[in-house]
Amino acid sequence: MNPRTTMAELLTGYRADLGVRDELLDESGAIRPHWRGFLERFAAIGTGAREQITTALTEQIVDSGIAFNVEADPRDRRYSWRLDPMPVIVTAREWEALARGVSQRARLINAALIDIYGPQKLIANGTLPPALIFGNRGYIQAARNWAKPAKFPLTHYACDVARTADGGWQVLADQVETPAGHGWLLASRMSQANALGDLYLKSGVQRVSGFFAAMKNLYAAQAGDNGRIAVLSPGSSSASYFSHSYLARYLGFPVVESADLSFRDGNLHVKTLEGLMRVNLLIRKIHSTMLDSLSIPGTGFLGTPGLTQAARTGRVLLANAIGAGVLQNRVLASCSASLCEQLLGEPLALPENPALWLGNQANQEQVRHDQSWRINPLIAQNDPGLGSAEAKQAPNLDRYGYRWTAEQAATLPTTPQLDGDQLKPVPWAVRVFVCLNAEGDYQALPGGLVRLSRQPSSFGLPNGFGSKDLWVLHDDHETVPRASTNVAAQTAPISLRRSGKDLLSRTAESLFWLGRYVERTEAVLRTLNTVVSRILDDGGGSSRNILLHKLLAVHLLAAKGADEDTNPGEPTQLIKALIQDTSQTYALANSFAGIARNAALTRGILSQDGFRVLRVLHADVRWQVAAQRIDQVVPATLINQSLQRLSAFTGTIADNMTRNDAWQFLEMGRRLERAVQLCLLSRHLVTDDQDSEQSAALSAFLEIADSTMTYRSRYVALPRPAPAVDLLILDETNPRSLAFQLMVLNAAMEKLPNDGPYRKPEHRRVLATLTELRMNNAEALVKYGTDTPGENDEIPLIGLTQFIHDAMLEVSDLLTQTHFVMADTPTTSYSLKRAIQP
Amino acid sequence: MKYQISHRTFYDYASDVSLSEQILHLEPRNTERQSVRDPAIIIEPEPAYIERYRDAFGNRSMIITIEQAHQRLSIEGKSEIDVQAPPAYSPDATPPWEDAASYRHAMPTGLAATAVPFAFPSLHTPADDAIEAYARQSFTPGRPILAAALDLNHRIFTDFKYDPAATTVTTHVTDLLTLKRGVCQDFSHLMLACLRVLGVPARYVSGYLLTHPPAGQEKLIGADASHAWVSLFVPGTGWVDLDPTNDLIPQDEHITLAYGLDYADVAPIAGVVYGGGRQQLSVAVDVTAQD
Repeated sequence: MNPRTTMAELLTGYRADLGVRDELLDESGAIRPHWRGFLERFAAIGTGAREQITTALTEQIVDSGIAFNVEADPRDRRYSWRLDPMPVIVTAREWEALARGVSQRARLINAALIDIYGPQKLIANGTLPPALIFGNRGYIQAARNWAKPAKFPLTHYACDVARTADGGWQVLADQVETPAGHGWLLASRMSQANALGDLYLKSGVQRVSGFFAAMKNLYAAQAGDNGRIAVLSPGSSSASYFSHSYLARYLGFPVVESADLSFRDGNLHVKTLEGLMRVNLLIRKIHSTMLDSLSIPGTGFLGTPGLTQAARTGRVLLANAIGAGVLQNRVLASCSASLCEQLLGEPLALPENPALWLGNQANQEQVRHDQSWRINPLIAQNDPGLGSAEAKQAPNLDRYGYRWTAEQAATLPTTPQLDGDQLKPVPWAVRVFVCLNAEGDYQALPGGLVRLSRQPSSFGLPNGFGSKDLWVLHDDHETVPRASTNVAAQTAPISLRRSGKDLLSRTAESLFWLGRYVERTEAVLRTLNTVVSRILDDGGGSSRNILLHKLLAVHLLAAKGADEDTNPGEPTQLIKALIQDTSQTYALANSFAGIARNAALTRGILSQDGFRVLRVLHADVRWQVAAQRIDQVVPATLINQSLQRLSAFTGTIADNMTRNDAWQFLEMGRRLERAVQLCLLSRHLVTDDQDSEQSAALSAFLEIADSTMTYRSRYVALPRPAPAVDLLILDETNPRSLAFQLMVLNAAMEKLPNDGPYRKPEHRRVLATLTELRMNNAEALVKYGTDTPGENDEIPLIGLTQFIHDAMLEVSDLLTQTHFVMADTPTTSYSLKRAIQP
Repeated sequence: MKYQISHRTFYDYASDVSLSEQILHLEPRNTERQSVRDPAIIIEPEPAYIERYRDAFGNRSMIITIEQAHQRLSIEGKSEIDVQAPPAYSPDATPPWEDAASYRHAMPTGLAATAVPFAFPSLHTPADDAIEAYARQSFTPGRPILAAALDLNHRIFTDFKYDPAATTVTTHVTDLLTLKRGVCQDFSHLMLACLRVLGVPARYVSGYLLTHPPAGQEKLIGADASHAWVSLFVPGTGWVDLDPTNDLIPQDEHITLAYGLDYADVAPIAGVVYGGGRQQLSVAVDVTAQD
């Protein structure tokens, strides 16, 4: 195909609006020179290859698990991330101007924060109106006048900017409190580079890794020798969890939550399996007002009590400092120019998109009768995917004007987006990231998180319509980028996560539960498989249906085994319930959600393949479809594929995970759950009957426990209770037997850290249970006691498996107490104040 | 007047507390009319960690953590204090209240600058229409600030009934106007909310009040209590204390412990305990006047 023709085709109908800056075309309608190289190559590869790129990009995105909210339904389009294969391309020279501007802004914000939480000269001399700071919800009184204030309260920062008509840039908003988006940017770049391959490599794009290396060096230097660094997260339900956990993995820092931290001896510690370990620096992704219930009023029960104190005394560094959010969003808009002159002695480089602070009457008047202004909370946080906060109702400006700002919509420039196989201009804006480096300078990341808009103008960074990568090209004469070789790299922090020795308690807990959910899913899938195959095999009949009800009752709380005398009919409703009724503990929907949650929390530990397999498993849309179709049974292929994915997962981790503490917890979770499931199956499916119905039930049990082949290799006849129980319960060589699960549990517990001379309570419980089990023989377990025959008498197996079932649940609780929780639950105590009678 | 203060607090827990973290505002601060000698805090069981510091308002604060298991925590604050009565004020000669309310638009200089952070609603002193309407009955346009504040002080005293059973530590100020009853903490919060909704700076004062036994009776040990009132900033005069619970301007029988935006900043003891189950609190305060 002729490249030139194709480039023209790509651009058919591409028209930039008059008066609006377009990235691709200049004022005369000609293609800007720095786009030519990429565009020609992009055109030359042809339609088919472009389609492949789009497909590959979609797969990359599913693979990386980019989602705004990891706990949200992955099928929910609101949370799906759309990445356009066309980047925004910017020259090094154009970028340099922006980079200087945002770096200057970071210096400005840093200097202003030092003053606001210190001498407050800027308020005294009238540069900052008092109400702008003291009336500002982001201002944290408890962070003022510390003996050891941070030299750099601002270490990282993001600035939302848009191009202006003249090719310059204007500021839409400052992201100061918990700047979000590094992870999205990294994941986008990775996906983009993978999908485009040569097209990316040949374009001379500046790499982003140097920025993150510098960031890592900075924090390592600040944390000191062997200083422990962690990312403090509000948890996986937070909208930006993907982004900051991705960043944490990329930098090699663990993600911790408030409850993982404890204040002792004036220091902050994180709970690990080995005990409490001091933390020296926290990259804070939790708002200041949620950090510390002890020192910051209004925190409620959230946060880590004592964190502020550790920060006040300089024993833990926070990035960014507590209260940085006082300059969030548009606080600076009305005073940045004079502030810049005053604090930095230089003119402000980047103009502001107009915004008026509504703390004075003149501004209130100006806004009151002019519809072009939109009123927003002054310090609103704007995380992509979260949406920017808008005034739900007109605020009372007379009383609370100082908490609000009025903004004009910024006219957005356009940039090409691939639509079908043609380029269309779409409005865009970008979030640019800045970080301090170890030398004390602020540096901008060469790239950005581009967000697209449906509207030609926007208040702040647009939301929800798609993203792009931004490429900053190398200058022609510039040589290969220098790798960052900083001295601080030598003193990189010891990762909490990798050494296995200091595995975070939270991570251990997630691995344990991931193991349990994986095994639970397998048990239910195997039951469904057994049920569905019998429905398909057989024409019907009441005895078959009774068996199917019995099988499904193993995992369904309310379902009873069907009446022996009547045909209970097809168990379609029960199958549906087992798939999607979330009030049922063992419903697949619950297990899938558990897998999704815990896999996201342990992603840094599971191998890439392991994570991917789980993601494909729990995100399979066909399960929802299957649950909705009452008339049909679940497709056997779907069950089988899901089972294969589970095997792929267990195979992958068995092949790839080192046998450290992390492994032991995953293993314990799996074995414990498998033991529980075996107990449940025994209770429902084994009697001492010797009839054909019992045989059918035992066949099903063997099938669910994946031991049919082993049974057949030992016994020719139809399954009988004693041999089946021997194989499934007592045989210590059968990896599917109950005894085997207890042995592996015991072995795993032997390897866990233990500071005392004696075995931990959960370990003792497992040993006692295993010994109890070993005292039995199969024949006796399935025979009624001769002493006390009676109506309600059960075979001894029922009592034994009930005992083991309960013991396993207890072991799970004991493990939680020993390894996972910090201490007891905290409660707040206030001294009640009562006045004397007047 | 010279006083000896003893403020004892006991927490009794149903089961072991494994970790306790507390912030104390129990050492009285020096003020213009108050000087403090030999402040001491006695804590049982012994904390693993103690750190004294000045909080953002300059109050003497202390953070402690107790890491040994315990079922009883006792904390005693002791000090000797010399308190002077303020000069006599001329309420009708004070400037219009709008002068003080203008500080939040333009930073004043001198002592007034320290008042500005106290001119805004806080966690426990929010603003709403009802509070503003209640405040404006006293704060009519151009009225001298101290006269208006004394009127508000008096109205809160007469409109509200003192009732320790009516509210808890979590009662919201906005509910108070309909409840019409409460304790000193509630009345102080209400008064602060009224002043701040208009932009008038005022702070929350935590402290003690000397009590007098009924005529002919001995004073009982531990019968005093901690108290709370309001300190208003009067341009040209400075901070003037007002006690809406007792409808008066504190003289030398009010002893200041700490001040802040509201109770949350200066609770004598606030903390977090791990474990402990149900907890029971008892407080005994003795304010003893020395000759």
